[in-house]
Amino acid sequence: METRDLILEIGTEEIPSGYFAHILDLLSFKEGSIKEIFEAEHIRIEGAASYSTPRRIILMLKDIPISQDMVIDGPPTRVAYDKAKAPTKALEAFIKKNDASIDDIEVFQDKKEQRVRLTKKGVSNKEALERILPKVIRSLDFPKTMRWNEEDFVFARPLRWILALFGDEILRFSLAGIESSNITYGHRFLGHDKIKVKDADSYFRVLEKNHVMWDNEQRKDKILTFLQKKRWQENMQLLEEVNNLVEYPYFLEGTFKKDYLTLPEEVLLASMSKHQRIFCLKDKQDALTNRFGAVLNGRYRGMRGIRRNYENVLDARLKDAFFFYESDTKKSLADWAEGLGEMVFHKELGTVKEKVERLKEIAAFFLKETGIKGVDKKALSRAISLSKADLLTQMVREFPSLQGVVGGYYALVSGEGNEVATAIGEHYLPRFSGDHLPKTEAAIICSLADKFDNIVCYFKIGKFPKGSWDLYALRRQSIGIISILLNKQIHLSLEKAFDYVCGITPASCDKGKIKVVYLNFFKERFIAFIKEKYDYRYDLLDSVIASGVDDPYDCSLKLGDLDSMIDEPCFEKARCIVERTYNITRSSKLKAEEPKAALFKDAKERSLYGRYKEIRDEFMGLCAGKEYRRATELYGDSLAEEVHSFFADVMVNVSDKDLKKNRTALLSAINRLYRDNIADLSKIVVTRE
Amino acid sequence: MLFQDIIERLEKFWKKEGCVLAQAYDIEMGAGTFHPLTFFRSLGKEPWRVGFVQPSRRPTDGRYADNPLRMQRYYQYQVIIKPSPDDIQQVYLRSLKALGIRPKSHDIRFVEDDWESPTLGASGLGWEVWLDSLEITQFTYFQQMGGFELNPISCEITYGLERIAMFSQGTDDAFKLQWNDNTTYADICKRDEQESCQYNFKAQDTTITAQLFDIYEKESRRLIGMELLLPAYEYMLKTSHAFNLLDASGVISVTERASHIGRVRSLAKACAKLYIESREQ
Repeated sequence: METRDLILEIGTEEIPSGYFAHILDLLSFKEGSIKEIFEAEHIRIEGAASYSTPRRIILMLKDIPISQDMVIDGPPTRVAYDKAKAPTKALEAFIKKNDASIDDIEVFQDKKEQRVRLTKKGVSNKEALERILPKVIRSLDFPKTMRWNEEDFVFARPLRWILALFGDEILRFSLAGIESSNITYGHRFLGHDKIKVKDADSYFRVLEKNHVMWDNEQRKDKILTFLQKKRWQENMQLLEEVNNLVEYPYFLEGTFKKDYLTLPEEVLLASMSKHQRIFCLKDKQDALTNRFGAVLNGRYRGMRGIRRNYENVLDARLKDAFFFYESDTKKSLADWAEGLGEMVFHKELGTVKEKVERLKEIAAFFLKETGIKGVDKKALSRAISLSKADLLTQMVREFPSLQGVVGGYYALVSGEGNEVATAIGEHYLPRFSGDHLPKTEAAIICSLADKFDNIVCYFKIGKFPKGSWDLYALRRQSIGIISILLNKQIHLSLEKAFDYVCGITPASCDKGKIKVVYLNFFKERFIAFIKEKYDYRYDLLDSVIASGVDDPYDCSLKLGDLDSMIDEPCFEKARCIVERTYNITRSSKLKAEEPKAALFKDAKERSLYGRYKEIRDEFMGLCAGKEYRRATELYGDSLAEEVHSFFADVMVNVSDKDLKKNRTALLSAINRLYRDNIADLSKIVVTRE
Repeated sequence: MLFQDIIERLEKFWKKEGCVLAQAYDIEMGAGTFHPLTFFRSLGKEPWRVGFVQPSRRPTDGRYADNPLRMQRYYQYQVIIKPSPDDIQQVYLRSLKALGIRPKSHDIRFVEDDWESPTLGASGLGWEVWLDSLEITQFTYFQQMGGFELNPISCEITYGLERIAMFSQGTDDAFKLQWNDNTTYADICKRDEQESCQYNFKAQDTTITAQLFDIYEKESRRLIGMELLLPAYEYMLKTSHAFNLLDASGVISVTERASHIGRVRSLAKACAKLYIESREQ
């Protein structure tokens, strides 16, 4: 079968750097449904590769058949033939429409009835591809789109050319007022414009010659290698961004006045990355130096002038940062905090000052609940009072990402103690997945209090995260909470936290309803968190989750213990007990009812009950001590034999209703003992040999 | 290139592109976008091309003439092209060449910038144009003006004249710029800049400014009621500047800030509505 490669290049004006990752995933079929657009036209794709530069989005498909046999379904046999089995007008029309002959027709049975169909040999795929590609382009979605002409078409930025080659043939279609062609454009300043490309094979060579490094990964490697060699202050996010701002990376090193190294490190770095997208370089001792590295879009004449210009701009920017620092610190952080009464947290949720007052109470509650020791309560309360003051400073207004960090620095300048400054500086942590966690106890409490307050408050006014929409970053904050609780080994009941925080926050709501949403939300986030960090069996996770996620750290302990013993005999014993007792009691409507000893008839049931009572308190004690491995061993080893011999000799489904009820209650109690306290092991999937 | 030559070259360049060479508006404004020839003309269907220098006032950006890049009053060269032509980026780059900026000797970049003017109820998508990492131009495809979706789309190109001149003259401080051969930018602007900063940040009687805000707003409202479009719009501009002054003085709280912006926007929207309705008649 003869095949060809397909190249689609969507030429645009510069697309925002953050938009590409998603688009490349769509085009390489990692997400979305572009593959189905091809399949709907019966074109099977072996492999799709996608690339991008700021000015182009590229899709390459390997080995697409030039032509293929196409099966076309026709009318049912009862319509296609008359009583004499001669072809009807309908059949003739079908044949004519498809440019075939009566010999091509065959009869087949579909789900309902007999029909005819024909197979056209060697139908060119060109037309199908010409129908497909505009749909592919239309299916690309962006966070923000725009119009630029009178066409009814939106895209991230104006579309300027479309190159569509199938081997050496142009796939012709038009979109947004543009006719597809075999014309591409090189690097905006270093390459040629309007370059005719002979065929798909030569396309990438043409780009290379015209200073376009089209492979995102290769481009990134080149940048990264250079930056590592120059001892960069690592900033992967900025690297991603810079990589999508250039078609042909070239490096420039420059310096700034050493005086600026006295600025808080975060301020220095934020200023460099925000305004000029440049990296700070370090010395051999890993300390920041007054050197920077910039990634230019190509190698130009007059690099010395470019360097001087970069340095001048940086100087002005850092001067500005100094201006903010000096004018902000003329007032103490406590003075800044005075203004919080005027600052609205949210119009339905009061001012930030009110929030801060509330955080003090929430912190005191968490301190009590979690049993965290060694916190200087005065420092904690002071830290909370000042924690939001930096929101009013010029520095944070200029660099919103530095909230907290700036507060921490200004606290020290204002003469607050280290404990206070650290708690302020760390209370937004972790800000993203993989970020540092707050280190000190006071910072941990501040961080938890702030996050719970945000989540509960926004839930109360109905601002739940939906789909990809999470304006208040509540998902990220809930993951932050879980991450802190697990890493710092803190026990906290999510439900109790909700009840308390809900009780002292403004805005009224249907508390019961919101609590259900809140608990489900945390459950989902917990599952997502665990799946990302650990490789537990999904059924083990299910079974632990089934027993509730009220205390995330506790859940993680159960998971750890059970995972470590999942292949051991005592786990299997426990699992069998839970499963068998579950199977027989699941249809009964018994509510947590204890069996009555007086009603037992059989020695087996009496002895099982006796054993159950014997271990129950010890089991509960182990659970209370979070010793889930030992609890499971106790449960499995002590009960397995008795349970099985009970099942062998004692009938549960007897006609004596009281007796039946009592026996069910016994088994249910045994089931619940494990299920309510550790995990519902009936959810464990067993492969039987 | 002298500061005045840069303006002259831009005028010449955009004249050839068919622009009306207009003059600055004689009321304080934060940007050329507030000029009636931008605001109103981007609303209608007719083609429109215009270029003009607009002195722009941003009281909070003042630095007492100490910072080489931030000033409370600076000069923009503003171009509006409607509908936006397909090769507008190339045309823009040619205009840089006319200013002696050769693209092959500099790192020129179009860096994403989603522009929004909450006071005008306007938004657009486009870029900051970077010349060796300095933003020298705002390049925007307007999508909304005065709360109305636009069609056709106007392209707004706003040059920061001081910054371009600094490049051209190789100086790192706007106040050192040569305006012509024997007059510097500082000769013309420095004292004004320092005194204005004094006024904006310290000397303002904010009670008066706050009263002015209310008075201007009221007057604009009244004129909107009389359907006197331009006078109403002019009082909106004055309201907006009074707000900017209050913002710089620091007396305005975060809540008040949002509500003041909302009040100005509602005037701007009313003016846009009036304009569209009057065109329809």
